[in-house]
Order: sequence, then C-alpha cells, then structure tokens
Amino acid sequence: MKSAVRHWRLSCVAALVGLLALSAGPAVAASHVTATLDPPSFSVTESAELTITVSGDEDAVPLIPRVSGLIINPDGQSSQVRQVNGAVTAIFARTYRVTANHEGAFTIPPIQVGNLTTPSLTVHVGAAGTASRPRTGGAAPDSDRDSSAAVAKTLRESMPTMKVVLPKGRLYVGELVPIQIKAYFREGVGARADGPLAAVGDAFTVSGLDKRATQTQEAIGGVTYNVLTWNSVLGALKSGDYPVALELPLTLTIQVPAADLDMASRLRALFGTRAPGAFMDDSVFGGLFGRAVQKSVTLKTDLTPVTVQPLPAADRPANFSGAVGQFQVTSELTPAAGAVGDPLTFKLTITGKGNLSRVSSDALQNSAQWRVYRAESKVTADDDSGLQGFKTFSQPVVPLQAGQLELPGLSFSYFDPEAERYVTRETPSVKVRVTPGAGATPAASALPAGPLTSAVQAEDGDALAPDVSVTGGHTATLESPVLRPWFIASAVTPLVLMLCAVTLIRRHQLRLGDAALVLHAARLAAVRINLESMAAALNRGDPTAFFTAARHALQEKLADMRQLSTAPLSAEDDAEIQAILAMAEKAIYAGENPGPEMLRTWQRRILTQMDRLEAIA
Amino acid sequence: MRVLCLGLVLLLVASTPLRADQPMVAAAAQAAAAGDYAAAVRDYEQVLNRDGFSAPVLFNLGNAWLRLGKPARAILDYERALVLAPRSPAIEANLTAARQRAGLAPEAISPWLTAARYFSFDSYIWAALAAVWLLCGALVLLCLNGVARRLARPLILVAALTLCVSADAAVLCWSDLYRAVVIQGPAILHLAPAPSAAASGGLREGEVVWLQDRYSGFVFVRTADGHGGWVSDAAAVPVRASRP
Repeated sequence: MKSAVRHWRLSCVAALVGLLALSAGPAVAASHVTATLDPPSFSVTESAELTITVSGDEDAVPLIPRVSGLIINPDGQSSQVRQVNGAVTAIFARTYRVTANHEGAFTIPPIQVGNLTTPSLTVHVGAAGTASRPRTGGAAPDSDRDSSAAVAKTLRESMPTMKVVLPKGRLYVGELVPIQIKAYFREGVGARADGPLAAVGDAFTVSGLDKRATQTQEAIGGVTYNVLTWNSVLGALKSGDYPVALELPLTLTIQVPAADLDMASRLRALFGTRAPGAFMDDSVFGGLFGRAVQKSVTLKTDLTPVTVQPLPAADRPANFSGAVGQFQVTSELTPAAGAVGDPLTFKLTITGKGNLSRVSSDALQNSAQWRVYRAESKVTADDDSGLQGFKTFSQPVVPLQAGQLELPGLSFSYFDPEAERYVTRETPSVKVRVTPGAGATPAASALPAGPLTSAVQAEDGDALAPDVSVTGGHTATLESPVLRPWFIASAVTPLVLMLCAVTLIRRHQLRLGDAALVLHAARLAAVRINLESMAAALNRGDPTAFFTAARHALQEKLADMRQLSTAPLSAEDDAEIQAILAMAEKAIYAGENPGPEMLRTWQRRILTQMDRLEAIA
Repeated sequence: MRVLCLGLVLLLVASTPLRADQPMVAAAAQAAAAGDYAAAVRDYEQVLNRDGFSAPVLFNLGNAWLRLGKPARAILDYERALVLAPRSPAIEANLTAARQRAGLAPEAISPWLTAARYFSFDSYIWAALAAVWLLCGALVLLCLNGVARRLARPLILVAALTLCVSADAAVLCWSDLYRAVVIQGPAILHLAPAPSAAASGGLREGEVVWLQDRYSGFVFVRTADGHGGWVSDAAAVPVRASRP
C-alpha cells in the first residue's frame, strides 16, 4: 500500500515537471520597438523626452533622423532583462532630449533601430510661455495654472548667476591669464548642462572649458549657493576694450512649493518628474512636497570689461614670433659626439609661462659642415590649464666633416607683459667631436642605435624616419613562446625537480634525526669493523683478538636483531651462539689456542651465524 | 667525439648570420631610394618570406607601404617591428605618422601599460622563467645547511622580485599577444560569423583590434572602445604572426 502511494506521488511530480517544461516555451521573445514623446507638445523654452524602447534580441543603436527646427540630443540609456514563464526578454531604452528652435508642428519620421522601425511622431511646439501638455504621470497642468504666480516667483528667485574672476583688467595681445568662472545655484535647484561652456565674441579665447567643474558651497547674504567653478585660461586676441562674456546652456529643475497643490498633483509630480543625470537631482523626494518645474535657460556671465593693449612696435626683435609670457631656453645635442654620417639630434627647449603655441625659434641651417633636416616641435603642458609648460624643437643634424665641429647658437625673442618689454634669449654654440665615418650614408642608420627622437624629413620630402641599414638576425615567428607546450614544460620542470629534491633532502634529514636508525647504522658499522678485525687476527694467528672481535660482532648483531625484530631464536641458533661465546670465553680468559685450521672453521661458523641472524632480522 | 664535432659545426652554422639576403636587401633599398616603392615592397617581402621576421626589414617595408599610400599595411609592419625592437623611437615616430595618414586617433595607453612595454613581452616571460628556475634552486639550497642555506635567502629575494615584476608586466602586456591590424577597410563587423549576418558596426583601415575567437573564416574582434563583432579573417591580420 505504501509503495502504491509513493508511486502515485512520484507520478504527480513527474507530470508537474513535464507541464512546467512545456509551459517554458521558446526562450526568447520576438523583437519590437516603441517610441514615445513626453510631453507630446511643449513650448520653445521647454523640452520633451523622446524614449525609444526595444524589447527582444535587437540591440542596435537607433538612427535618429534630422528634423529641421528640432534638436534631438542623447540623454541616457538603460537596459533590463525580464524572464516571464521562462521567456527571456531584453529591454533597451534610450532617451533623447528634444528642443525646438521655433514654434510649429514637426514630424519625427520613423526611426530605424536595426531591422525595426518606429512609427512617426508628431510634435507641437508652442510659443514661449505656452503651457505644455502634461507629461505622462507628470505635474498637472491645472496646478500649473493655479500656481502660475508661485511658479514665476520661484523661477525668478531660483535663477542661477555666473561670473568671471579675472586677475587683472589690462592685457596685451597674445597674453594668457588664468581665470575662474563661477556659476551660483540656489539649494534645491537641479541643473543639467545642455551644452559646453563657450566664450562669446572673437576678442578672447578661453581654453579648458570642456573640463569638469568643481562643486563647492558658498553662503552669500544668508543664502547658501552651490557653486560650480571652472579654472581656465583667457587669451587676448585683438587690441581694444572688450567685455569677457561666456554662456552656458542649462536645463533647470526647480521645486515649486506645494502650498496650493492638491494631493493628486503631488503624486503625479512624484512619479512624473525626471531629471536623469542632473546635478543635485532631488526631483523624486522634491515631488513629495511640491512640484518640479523644468526650464531651459542660457546662463550668461556679467560683462566684465577688459582693456587689451597692442604689443609695442618699438624695439621689437626681428625674430619675434608673437610669444608673450616669461620663458627660459636651453639646448643640447644627443649624442654629444658621433661619426661622419651619423644622425644627431639638436634639441631646443623653451620653458615658461605663456602662449607656448606661439613660441617659435630660429632653426639651424645647412652648411658645409652640417646637413640639417626639418625641425619638429612638441608642446608639453605642466598643468591642466596649459598656461605653463615647455616646447621642444627637435632637429636632426648630420655631420658632413670629421673634426671639431660647431653648431651655432640660436636666439629666441618674446614679450614679457610683466616687465612690458621684449626679451631675447640665446643658446650657446655647441662643440662636437666628429670622427671619420665608415662610409655610411646619412639616410641609413641602424635601428637600435638611431637617436631619431623625432621624425626626419626623407629625401622625397615626407616626414618619416628614413630607412635603416639591415643588420642583425631574423626570427622565424613572432608568436610568443609562452603558449608553447615546451615553454610550459620548462616552467613546470623546475617545480617538479625542486619538489623531488626537497623530498629527498627532507627524507635524508629525517633519517639522520631518527635515533633508532642512527643506532642501527652504528651497530652495522661496529659489526663490519669487528668482522674485519676478526679476519686480521686470523691472518696474524692471534686467537684472543680473533674471538674478542668475534664476540663483539656477534653481540652487536644480536642487539641490532633485537632492535629490528622480536622473532625468537631457534634452539639451533641459540646453541650455536652459546657455543661461539663459550669458545670466546675460553680463548680470551683461559688462553686456549685452537690452531689456525680451527680458527678458520670458527670464522666460517661465525659468518654463517651472522647471516642467519641477518635473515631473522 | 665525431658526434660532438658535428654538433659544434652545426651550432656554428646555425649561429652565423645569414648573408644570402643581402643582395635582395640592397636591391630593395635601391628601389626605395629610386622611388620604386612597389619593387621595394616586393623585395622586402621576399626577404621576410625566406629568412623570417627582422625589425629593420619590417621597418623599411612599412616605410615603403606608407609611401605607396597604404598606411594600414605600414601600421601592421611597424607594429611587428615594435615587437622585435620595442621603444625604437624611429618606429614609433613612423607608426604615429602612419596612423595619422590613416585618419586614426592616437592610441590611448595607460601609464602602467606604457611602463610595462619598456621591454618586450617575450623578455618578461624569459625573465619569469629564469626566476622560476632560480627560485626553485634557491628553495632546494634552503633545505641544506651551511653556506648553501645562507646563499639561498638573497637568491630567493632576487628571484621572487624578478618573478613578481616580470609576471606583472607580462600580465599587463598579455593583450598585446592578440593585437591585430585591419588591413582591408572599411570592414564590416557582423553579429555572427557569416557574410549574411547583420552588421553591428564597422572597422577602419589600419585600426588596431584584439582577436578573441576564430570560426570558419571569421575572427571575433574587439575594438579599443569595446565594440565586438565577427569580421573576415583576411581583413584583420594578427601582429604576432606565426610566419611572414
């Protein structure tokens, strides 16, 4: 009976497992794509969120079409995998921020995502100030109307400001100065940059605006502001009085007080307000207590006037190339000596603070002693702003004559805005010892010895390091030996050998440390020595020494046998041993001399008995 | 004794630099100097096929390809030359020029990898192997007594340090074993190893990719920005090739 019940239960479990397996079905669902615009209509000062959701096994990047009058920028992406009844579905969602240049109705054509396309979307863009249709689950338009005054007031109060901090108000054309750009945001205001910080006008250049801003807090007039600071460098391009102006496009997320909002609008605000990736994004929690309003603004700095003076024409050096700042100049030749035909590199380094990109220098010229190639320059900044650093001019030169040659010094001129005068710096001439060459052509050098740290102009005018003379051996393959079996074996072999050696050594050491083994070895040695003494006594005809040695050997052998084995002696062995010992007593203490023949007989008996004891052990 | 003498003779023959390629190398150099880069390419490739890889030959071959207007092939040869002669400024300069001509952005390399590439990958693994042998020998000495035991400790320290540094560097450079250069571009990245499979992207000529798998005439490659896909194995040629 019990067996029948167990069988029935097993059948039920098997049937259930079968049903589950059948219901699992295909592992992957078919792909489909949707596109939604939230809200579908908005004003020119607002933006909408375009979401493209792809489910299934398609993961291609959507091809966003260009729509005249609309700006569609990527805003983020997410992915998730769902498993429902065994069917696995991957969902990829990409969001785009849609803004309009002007009001009107726009149609976003079908968007292609891999082999799929979305239906077209229609967008209605109203004039500035027109209330947009509600976002899906977003803040209620009724509340917008009800609280428009509160919203306008909050927006005015929450509008951020931006300013430029300049070290001085008078610059020279070409001068670079470090500046700070600060944007002040009230607490509770979220902001997302819709574009890079940019300079307005053509009188200045501002570099480093693409770098990340640092965020701090400052209290001004009892109000706490979150401050974004960019450290940058301002460069003056033309003389005159110009304001320094910068602008930054932003989307602000501002919390409106909930005093006059009903609970429904709060809940919609809670689930509808989104500002992904926003700085100080508190939209979710802010939605609990009020409504978040998004607004696209362009933040502009106050117009800070700067006077840019032209560089003085008086005393301007002939080789002045527009470098403004403070600089030092050094030169070196590497290697410091060589042979005729060997390429050497003359390196001129100008270090300092200023517009390094405008720094230029005289170059070496061809002469009867030197063949000179085109110089290559490289600017290396010491700081993020690029204000300080060094510029290196590398010029390959080839000596054409043997002997003590000289490379002339070079001069470099710049304008120092602090001293307000031109400065010319010169490098000393370089003396080089050149030995006669081995007939090598200037264009052929060996690769490992080639000091070509910069590109060299070849005969045909391209900027390539020239061909080299072919020396050295060849290798059959470039494949690394690391994956070859013999290499792996050669790495494993020492480990195996080491383990064997260590095992043997440890075993030997253990044997040395075992008292029983040591005693056994000592006894065997004693037996061997006594047997040798016994044989020597036999040859001498000394029965006393013979039996003394025989007795000691037998005693050691018996003791060793007792250590190794507990097996009892046979009566025959016992009798033989007693006979040998008795004879030994007689020979040692009673002076009995059995004669040479009997001694040999006793030797055979003793050796035979030793072998028997060895066998017993 | 005869066997020993024969072995020595063979060793000497094997270690003597082959000079049979010199006429062809000279012909290639003359062709390049005369501006006949196609002939130079042909001659240098014959030298490689006959005698194996050589950094100077690969460098000159890269120059010839670049002057022929084939920057992708030049990039491949410069990359191979750098395997044999790492840190060669001439090769690096021309590789940069070739990448510029191919319209490729400079390769972004971490400072650690830059430091690790100071020596070649093979140098590191040979150093690691030598360190393993030394370490094992020193551990055996450590089991002995007297002078051997005293000698073992500094040897273990040196071997362990060498092993750590070389193994770390080898791990950093490990991906270099799978570098490849796209020599036929623009190449289509497929989602599956079949010509009819959907495209998942494209590869530019001269772009460096990393080989990850191989199947039926296709190789799965991953680009520097993390994109992956299958591409024809004729389009992406490994830098560390088994033969020229």
